[in-house]
Amino acid sequence: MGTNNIVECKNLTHFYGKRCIYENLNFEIPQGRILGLLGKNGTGKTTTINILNGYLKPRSGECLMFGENSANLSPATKQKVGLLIEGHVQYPFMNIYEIEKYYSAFYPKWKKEAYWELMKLLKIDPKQKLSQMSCGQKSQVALGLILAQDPELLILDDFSMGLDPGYRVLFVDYLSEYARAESKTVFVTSHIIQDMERLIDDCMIMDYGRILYQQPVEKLLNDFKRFRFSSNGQSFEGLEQVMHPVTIKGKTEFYSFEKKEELERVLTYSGFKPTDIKEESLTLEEAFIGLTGKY
Amino acid sequence: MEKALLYKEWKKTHVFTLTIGVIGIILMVYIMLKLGRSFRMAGMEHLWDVIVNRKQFLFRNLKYFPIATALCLGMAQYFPEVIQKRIKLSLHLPLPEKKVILLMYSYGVGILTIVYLLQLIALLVFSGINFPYEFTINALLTIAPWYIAGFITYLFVAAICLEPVWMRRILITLLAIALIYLFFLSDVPAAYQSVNYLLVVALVMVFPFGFYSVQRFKEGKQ
Amino acid sequence: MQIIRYTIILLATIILAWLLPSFYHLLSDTSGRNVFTYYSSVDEAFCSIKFDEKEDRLIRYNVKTKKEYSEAEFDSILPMFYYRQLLSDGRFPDSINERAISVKEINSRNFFYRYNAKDKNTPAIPIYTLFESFSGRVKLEMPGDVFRLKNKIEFINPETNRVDKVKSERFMRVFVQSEFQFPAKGVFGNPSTRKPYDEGYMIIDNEDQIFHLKMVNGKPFLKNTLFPKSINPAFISVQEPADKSFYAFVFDDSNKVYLITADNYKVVQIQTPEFEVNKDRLMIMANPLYWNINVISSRGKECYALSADTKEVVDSLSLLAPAEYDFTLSNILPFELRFTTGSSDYIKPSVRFATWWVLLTNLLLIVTFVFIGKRRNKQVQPFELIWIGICGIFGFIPCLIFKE
Repeated sequence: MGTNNIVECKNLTHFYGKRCIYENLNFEIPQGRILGLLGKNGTGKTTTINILNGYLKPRSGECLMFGENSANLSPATKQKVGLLIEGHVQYPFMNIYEIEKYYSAFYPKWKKEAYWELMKLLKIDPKQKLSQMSCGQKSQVALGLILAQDPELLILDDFSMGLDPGYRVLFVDYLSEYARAESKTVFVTSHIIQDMERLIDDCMIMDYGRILYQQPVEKLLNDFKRFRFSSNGQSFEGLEQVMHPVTIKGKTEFYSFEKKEELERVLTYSGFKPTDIKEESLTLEEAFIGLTGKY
Repeated sequence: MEKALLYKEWKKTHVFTLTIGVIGIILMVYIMLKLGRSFRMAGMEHLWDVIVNRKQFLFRNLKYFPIATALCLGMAQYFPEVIQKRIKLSLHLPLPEKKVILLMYSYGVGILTIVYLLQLIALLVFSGINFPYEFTINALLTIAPWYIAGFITYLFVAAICLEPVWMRRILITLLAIALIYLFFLSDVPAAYQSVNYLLVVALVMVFPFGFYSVQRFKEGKQ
Repeated sequence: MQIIRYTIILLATIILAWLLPSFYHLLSDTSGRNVFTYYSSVDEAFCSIKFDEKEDRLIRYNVKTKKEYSEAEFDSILPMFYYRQLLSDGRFPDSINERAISVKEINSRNFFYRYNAKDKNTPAIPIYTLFESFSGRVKLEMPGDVFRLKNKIEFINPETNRVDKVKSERFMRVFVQSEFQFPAKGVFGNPSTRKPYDEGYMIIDNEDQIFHLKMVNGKPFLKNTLFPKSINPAFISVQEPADKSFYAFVFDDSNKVYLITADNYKVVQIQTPEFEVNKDRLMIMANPLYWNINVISSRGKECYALSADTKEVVDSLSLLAPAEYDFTLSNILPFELRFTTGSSDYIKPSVRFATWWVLLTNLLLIVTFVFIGKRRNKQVQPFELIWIGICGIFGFIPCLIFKE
């Protein structure tokens, strides 16, 4: 195990039948970092989360959490991990009192206040069962339970699923404030990337079968830009620096990690006339699209 | 922690559990009232003659109660766990996974045992008052397979629900139906008396199937 | 976890070994032959009826001479069987082969007795009803109590579920006086009010002696029948024939049948064709001249005709089908597991094995299994190969479908 890596995945390879999800995937999450796993549907986000929690045996490779193989986590390790299942799944037959009482028995460091602080914000009847709550309300209950558990590592699978914008913001605010204040390690996936920008330190962008990018968000937004210029409809084939070019009515738009000056040079060399080339900074969502393509 | 898990099982199934208990009691009361009526209408001597020489079994209404209750309780307990793969929540608890399943089992088996015991005690008292012990022994030998089948049904429902692969679920269901059918091959009272121990062996064999399903779930079989 | 998978495979194998053959039987079984036969006291030969499918009619014939009879002729060939028809036609003879007969004699000495192995192999509650044998009434009446008999005899009143101490002691004294050796090993009777009189019970004591128990004027009657020590009784069928000439049929543990006669409990062996007391059916159709002894087994029927007076065999007939060879049962299905049989009410597993040729089938299945495993890129385990080698198709299917 590395110096202070909470999670380490080594050479993960997984297939569903003959479909390769990824081969030899390696990544780690250092202590105190918030890592966002970004990817389109079906690129293996939930697969990764499942392997990490021991709900899926990869074809080869292994995941270590706190140095333990994730297929056989000890109770002590599980106590240190807070898990939010896709869709904020919890027990629908309990109300907020019962579910708090239930989980408190399992975690010695249980922080009741953290839970109730969040519950106070919800306009719910205390006797209301979870099954009668809205998706947003359920997400707050699930989050409250994880915060009260006070885990060292939080794993959140697609927390934005089914949430209204208000609840999404509430969720992100609460989570990021909590994680940074307590120096928690967080591993999170979401298909709404807007939310992630305000939350995550590092991002890992997956495409079908591989990892496209794994760096701090700051670095990504610094290095990765969008460029526009008027082109003459030539082919970009062979230009590795130019990512996902789209030309509509003579206006070309593409993405690149290269500096503007270098791009001008390369494009000119290839026969373009990028005289009006413009560089644009991106949001995380735009960068994601730039990396993975619109399709 | 163990208590909390049982508390969750209770919250999940208490409506079913209580219903099963009440139906069990109502069924027993119904049988006794019906028999009481036959005592008055036909007379005890005739009834005894019918039991001994025509092999009528007075408690035959109990026949499918154990497997029906086991089916309902098992579904009530494990079906919500597989919707949205909620079982992940239980497996993520800071307890050994086998222990989590074992605790869920013990809740279900415990509830069934209580319901079955209530009936058994009622039957023993009723039979003891009205009939010689030979009848009671015969009745116990007759109902034993039905109640063992009840426990087996419960264990199978657990294993089938927890199993992640649909095809495998169907195969295990077929196996379950065939095995449980084996407990209902005869209408002759006490026909299973010399093989009741084999039925218990079957029960022991089926017991770990649920753990296997959970193992497969954990490996992410699809 | 592997061990659980093996358990599932084992259980599935057992279930298949039971279900597959029984489905196969459902598809392939034909009914066994059980034709009517009766020994003609006129022809002094067995006669039978068979159905001619070509001509779509019944053929009545003498088995020995093959002579065919019309329906009316057949009545008079079997006067002991069709005596009612003959009587109503006014054709009933005075004598048969110079022996005088009368309807009265037929009525008192004709009887039908049916034994099915199920009569013996059935779970019973050891509680018995003892009727008053001289009730003085036309119809037998329920006595108002029942008894149990193991280490002592006790009468219980159904209305109160209490032991009648006085009556129990009265009977117990007789048991002690008669030197009955407790515990009783078997109590056999015919507790029914649908019979002309009651002969009570035949009881086997701990030393295999047979005692006759009945109730006469409310008093116990218990007598040691002095049954021969050389015979080990396994089952007794108490009868109340109209002519009161005998008490019971006794089946011993070596498949022999005896009659306890009313002549001071004298024991007479009844010759039977080959008979298995735990499997076969026995039917006795008796008339004043001959007893037809029929043994019906899975292979068909065998008959003896005994002289009614001497019980000597006068003729025999075998209608056994040759043992049927079934390819599937001999070579494909390695064994057959059954839990029920027609000869017992008990649920009990029994196994019937196929021929050694089935090992060849098993070997083919192993090869197929390895081949399928290779194609699917799955590792073949030694357990699976051994299991298929032993259990053939029953192991092959579960090993295949419960493969990881």
